[in-house]
Amino acid sequence: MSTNSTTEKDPATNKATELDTKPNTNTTTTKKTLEEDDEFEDFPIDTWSEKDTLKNVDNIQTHLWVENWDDVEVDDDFTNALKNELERYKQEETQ
Amino acid sequence: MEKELIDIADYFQMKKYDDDFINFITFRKPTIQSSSMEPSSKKIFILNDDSTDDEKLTMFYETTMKAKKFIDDAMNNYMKNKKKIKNKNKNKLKNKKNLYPITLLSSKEFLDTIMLQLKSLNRLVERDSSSNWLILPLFIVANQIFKIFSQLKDQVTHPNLKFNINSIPDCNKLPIKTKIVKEFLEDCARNIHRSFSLCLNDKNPNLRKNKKIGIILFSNLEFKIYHKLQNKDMIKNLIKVLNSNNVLTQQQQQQNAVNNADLTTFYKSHVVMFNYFMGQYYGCYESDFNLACNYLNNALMECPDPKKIIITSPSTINSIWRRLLILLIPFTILTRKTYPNLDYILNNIFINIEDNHAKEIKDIFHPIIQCFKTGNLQKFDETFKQNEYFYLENGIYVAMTLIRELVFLKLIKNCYKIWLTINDGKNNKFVIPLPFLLIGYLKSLGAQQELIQQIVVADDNDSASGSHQEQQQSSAHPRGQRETQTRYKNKKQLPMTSKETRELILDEIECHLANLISKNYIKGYLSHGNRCLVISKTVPFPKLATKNG
Repeated sequence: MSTNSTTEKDPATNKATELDTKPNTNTTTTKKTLEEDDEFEDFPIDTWSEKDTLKNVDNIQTHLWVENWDDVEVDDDFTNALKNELERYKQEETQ
Repeated sequence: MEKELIDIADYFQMKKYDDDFINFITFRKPTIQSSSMEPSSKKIFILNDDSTDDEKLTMFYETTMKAKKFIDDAMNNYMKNKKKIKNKNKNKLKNKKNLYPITLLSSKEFLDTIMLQLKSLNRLVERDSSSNWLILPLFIVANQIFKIFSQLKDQVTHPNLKFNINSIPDCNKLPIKTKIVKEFLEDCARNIHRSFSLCLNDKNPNLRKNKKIGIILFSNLEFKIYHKLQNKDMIKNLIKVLNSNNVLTQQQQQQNAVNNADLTTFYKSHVVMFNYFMGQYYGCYESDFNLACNYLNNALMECPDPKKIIITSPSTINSIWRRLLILLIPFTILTRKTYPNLDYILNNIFINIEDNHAKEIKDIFHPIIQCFKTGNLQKFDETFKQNEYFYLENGIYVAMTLIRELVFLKLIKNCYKIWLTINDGKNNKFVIPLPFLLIGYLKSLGAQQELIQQIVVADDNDSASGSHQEQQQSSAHPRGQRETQTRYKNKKQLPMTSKETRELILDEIECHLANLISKNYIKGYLSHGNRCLVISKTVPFPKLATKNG
């Protein structure tokens, strides 16, 4: 059992390290610098006026958050493959 | 150089502070610029003779002066030595975080002195029942001793951190040293809590003079110190106290009443921080993602608009965006079913899109958002596995596991859409056979077509190749989703006959669907006997995305 699951893991992790080492050689350094600040840092300025807050940016919530999840359709490889698979099954069933 | 004498007692008479008083209580910062070699000021702080009877004031004055001397001496020594070595090895001495020299922290006398400084100031604040002029100075004192003690905690393993405490034998063996440091930090926490309580319990009806204005400042400091101590119970207690006193509403009222620039100068940054800590507590410790989302959204909304305010230290502010977004994004996906517009965030919120903090937010959340939109479970599980430690470190592990359910829901919706196009115009289009969803489910988990075929069309007599071997290996049926999943991804590892596998996965799908129906994410019911999902003719999938804030 355990051997099975580890062999399954390996290709995934290998893939990940391959990807990491090749294009972004600075990922390791990124990790290091980011680990340093493990706490919420103090703001470089103490205060600012109400009108300069993000709250007062026009339609900030609509800019930040997309609300179309219920209906959004993504045209990617996965979605197309899913479609093909399901349609194929249906055809076989009707034959 | 002409010297100016400044009598500290005067401030306590006038009940007002100025820059000189703030300079008096503030320690020299551990910067290594040469300018700090110069005598810090032409001004000399004294306490007049009439005040020597005032025990509390004298204690505060003396401990402050003593602590300042300790720091000056240590810094000057450090500079001298540094200059000598500087030419030999420049890089080694890069002191990015501006730390105090370790010799200073090794002195128990120094540590006791700064603790006494805070204690004596607490007493002075307590004595002054009718005004709040000392709250900001108290915060400055408390904050700087917190910083020193947290540096001490961070550097506990430093080889040069050597205490000299006669009463404790072996006080420099690491476990004992760690214990001493922890006790220091706990003592520091107790004294800061004392400051907090002084603010919280002020009953002064004059809001302008009421010490409650310091509550947020000291709460933030308490949050920080309990995080440093990794003490969740203390955070919980603090939140209890804050909730039972309805602190936030009171603060707002007081904020409106107070117009002078005193404490308001600290205000916004602390409001952000306070909301962050509250959100972090509810989301990461209590799994109350809705409440967490409200707090974190408030925190973000109170932040300065980088387009309007020139920020001198972009990397600090970017690290703050990062902290906020790491929690806010998954909690929002989970509770509001909305997802962030990463392009907007990277271009308008972060300063410099090439910043590592910005990149990290994109790396972590872009793939998850894609899966959330497409219903791709395989990609989700893969990404999850890659970032598992990151989730754990940041307290979003639970939230991330729960997002999987929404990915599954999206998958079902996508399957349903395809089902509709195939069965357009037919009467039974509201009855979806589970084997149909099974194909989608297997596809989404990354199963090969061959395997899908094998499982879907399996009949009772079917026995898949290789299944016997497998049965020998595992007598029990595989439990747990991930295990099942890895198993039927690969044909050769089929643990059971295809028929058995099919029934098992259909059960699994039914379980997921039952959960979704119970949460009102799907309107409909399951027929286990017929292995089908019957959905509402009017609104099978109620709209879930809701506005934030």
